[in-house]
Amino acid sequence: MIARLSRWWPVILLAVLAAIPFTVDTWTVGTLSRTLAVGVLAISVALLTGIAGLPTLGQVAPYAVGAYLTVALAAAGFSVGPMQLLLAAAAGAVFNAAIGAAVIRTRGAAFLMVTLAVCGLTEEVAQQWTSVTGGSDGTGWMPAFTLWWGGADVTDKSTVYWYALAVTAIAAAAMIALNRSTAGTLVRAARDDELRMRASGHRVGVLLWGTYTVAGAVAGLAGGLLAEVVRFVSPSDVDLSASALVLLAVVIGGTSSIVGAVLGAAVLLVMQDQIITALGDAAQGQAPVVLGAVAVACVYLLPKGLSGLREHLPRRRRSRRQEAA
Amino acid sequence: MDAYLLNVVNGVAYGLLLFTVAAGLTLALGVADVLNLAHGSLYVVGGYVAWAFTDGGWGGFVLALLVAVAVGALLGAGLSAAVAPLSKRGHLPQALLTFGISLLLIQALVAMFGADDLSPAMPAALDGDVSLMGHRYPGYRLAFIGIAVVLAVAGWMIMSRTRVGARVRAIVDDRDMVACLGTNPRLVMVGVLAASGALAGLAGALGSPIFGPGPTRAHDIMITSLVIVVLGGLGSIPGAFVAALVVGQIEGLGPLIAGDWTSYLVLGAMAVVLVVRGPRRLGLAAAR
Amino acid sequence: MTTLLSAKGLTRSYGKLRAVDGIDWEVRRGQRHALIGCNGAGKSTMLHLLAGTIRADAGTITFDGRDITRAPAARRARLGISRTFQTPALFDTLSGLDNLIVGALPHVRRRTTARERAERQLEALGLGDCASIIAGNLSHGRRRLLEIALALVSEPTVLLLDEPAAGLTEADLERLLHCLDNLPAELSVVLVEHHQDVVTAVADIVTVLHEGRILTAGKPDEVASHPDVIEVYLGAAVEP
Repeated sequence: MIARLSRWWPVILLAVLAAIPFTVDTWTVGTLSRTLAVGVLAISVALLTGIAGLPTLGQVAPYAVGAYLTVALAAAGFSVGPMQLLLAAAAGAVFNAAIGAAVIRTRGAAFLMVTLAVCGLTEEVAQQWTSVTGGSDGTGWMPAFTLWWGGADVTDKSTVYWYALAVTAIAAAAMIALNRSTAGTLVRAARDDELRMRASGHRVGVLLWGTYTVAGAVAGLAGGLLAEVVRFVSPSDVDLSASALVLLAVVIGGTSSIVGAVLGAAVLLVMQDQIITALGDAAQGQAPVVLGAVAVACVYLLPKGLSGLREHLPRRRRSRRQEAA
Repeated sequence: MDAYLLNVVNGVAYGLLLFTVAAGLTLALGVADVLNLAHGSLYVVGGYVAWAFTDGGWGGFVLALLVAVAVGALLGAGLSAAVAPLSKRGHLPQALLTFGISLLLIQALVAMFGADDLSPAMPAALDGDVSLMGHRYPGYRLAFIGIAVVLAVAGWMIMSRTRVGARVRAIVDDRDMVACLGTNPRLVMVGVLAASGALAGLAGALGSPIFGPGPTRAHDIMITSLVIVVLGGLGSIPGAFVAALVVGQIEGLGPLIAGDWTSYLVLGAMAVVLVVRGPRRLGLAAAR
Repeated sequence: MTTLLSAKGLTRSYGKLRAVDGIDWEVRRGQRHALIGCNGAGKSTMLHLLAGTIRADAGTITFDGRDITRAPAARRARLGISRTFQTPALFDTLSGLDNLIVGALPHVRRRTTARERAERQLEALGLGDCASIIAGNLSHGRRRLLEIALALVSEPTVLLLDEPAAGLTEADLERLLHCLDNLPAELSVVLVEHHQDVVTAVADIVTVLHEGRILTAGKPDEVASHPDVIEVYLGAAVEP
């Protein structure tokens, strides 16, 4: 019974998420739409951090590329939502392919440091390239998107949420399929033992560069989605705190879990929102404190993320198989 | 040519300041294997200490330096205790934890000192302008270059001439050496992070008239130092020295040559080095 | 038998230590060649140089008439040089079968071919039961055999084995010898090994290294009775 249920969990999860607009107020629906965009960014971070073993803080760069490009497209009168997203994804991919040539030369702590530098630069560009980004004030109010050429503007909060949910589900499904494909197996093998990979004849550099490019596409898509659902982008969307929040979300979600990454992002953003609302005026400008405290707590209390909480079960099963071997 | 001189001197001062910060960072990575993203906030702590203790006289200046070193060392030792339980889990939890701590620390400092960038009152003798080849130039920067050179030479002497330095170098070469040397690894970790924190605190106090403490300073200085550590090679102090001076010159001369594109130059230099140096320095070869 | 893999004037230093010091050496097609010597004689460095894990300071390496001195490890693997590591290196989160599929992929065109080869290789070494087990959960002995299977699945022309008998139990050693006995006849094997029984059982020819140079080479029994070897190597090998 449980086994049969567990095969259907993606459908059940989607149904539950799709039903949310019927139960909460429109303001919350808007927040959740934004959460989904951040969730897609978290998917790209999980792909690099967990599956490829390259912990990154730099995915806000292609995210920013996708977001600001979408705003620019909409401002120029091109408002077809799915096309905006495709272009944003393509731009993110091109961007990561370009910087990946250098970034992918490092591993481990150095990779984290280099991508942190990329993140720092992203924030700076967002602040200073005012003709595109509007500087620290952010972009102006972006025109609403349409579902197709000549379609009506999508402004209803619930519709926007369902659209974001659909995009998120497609991105997650695509990445799960990729992870299970031969290419995904190779990426995980490279994470497990890079020297062994080379000794078997694999071009690990090309493989990881490809992974970095795909992660760029997903992050670009996430940026496009953020722009479409929030209709406003500012440097605080792409700064170090945003980047660290997403990395933390991925760790909470179990580091290499795609669905875990989205849920981790949702948990963090909703929690941050709730705490700040609960504190009221006292919380004015204290978002970093909440993030910092949550980071410290998670590192100590959830060493394997939320999915680690149910870990004792599969481990027992595994040890029995080990005895059989 | 003459116009470039002041920028070159500025670059040297900035480079030496960055070196003082990055040396602590690379030491923590190379010896204790700790990626400390709170290092930048320790620099800022040193700056606020300098602002609080300086009074325009020499006594206040020296007191500020001593307190900054002590507070930096204390916070560094505290960080080593905080990351100790994570030792088997790699750099990612360390990075998240130290980043979280730095957010809390910075927010606490802003609550105490306000959100404005502050500038401490240095001794009058250091505060005025001096004439440098016919140009007026802030005297403190020249004094800072002098102090930083003395610090670098002292550091080099410690690393190359003393037993502690020899041990530190041995551990950077091969971290499994800690056990062989008969040193308590916990003690090494506390000592290194305290020394690293003291360096950051000292740099923050000394550098406060050049890059004063403020809420965004920690991240800026942190990111530039990380780039320097990567450029110089993780754990390499001489490498960090060269990289810091190069980055200092890029930042100093950049505005004249590249205008607004200066910060891209630093990242561009990093990209070039990463591509040229290739994967051979990744520590993969001969790993087994 | 023609020369397959050869080194000329091969040199590699670590600081002041010359780990491999101007070695001229070759292995012929189908030959089983053991490299022996005490710790620090340069055996492992030699194997790393042949596999491309580390680069030579001087000298050349030729494989099948091609100069591969500057070729990276992955390219050598694609040419047909396969290897194992001192500590078995596997993809610890993948199943035994997936490990071998990953190992076969660079050498075949289609995934299905890789899968067939992987299944055949597992069966050949009696590792069928490891197919669905995550490699990180296997015992040391099984990991050792699985890594040899991983090295063989690419159907190499030369196999470099780095101390395959290290840390094995009696039963596992038995399996290892059986596996090495049944290697394809046309495959060349270079074996770095401390375990005397394994060397005697496997090797047609033995090269003795000492302080980065070749002390002597010959048939296993000839080498064992060579006075220099007895003095330098067997003398030292008596240590526990």
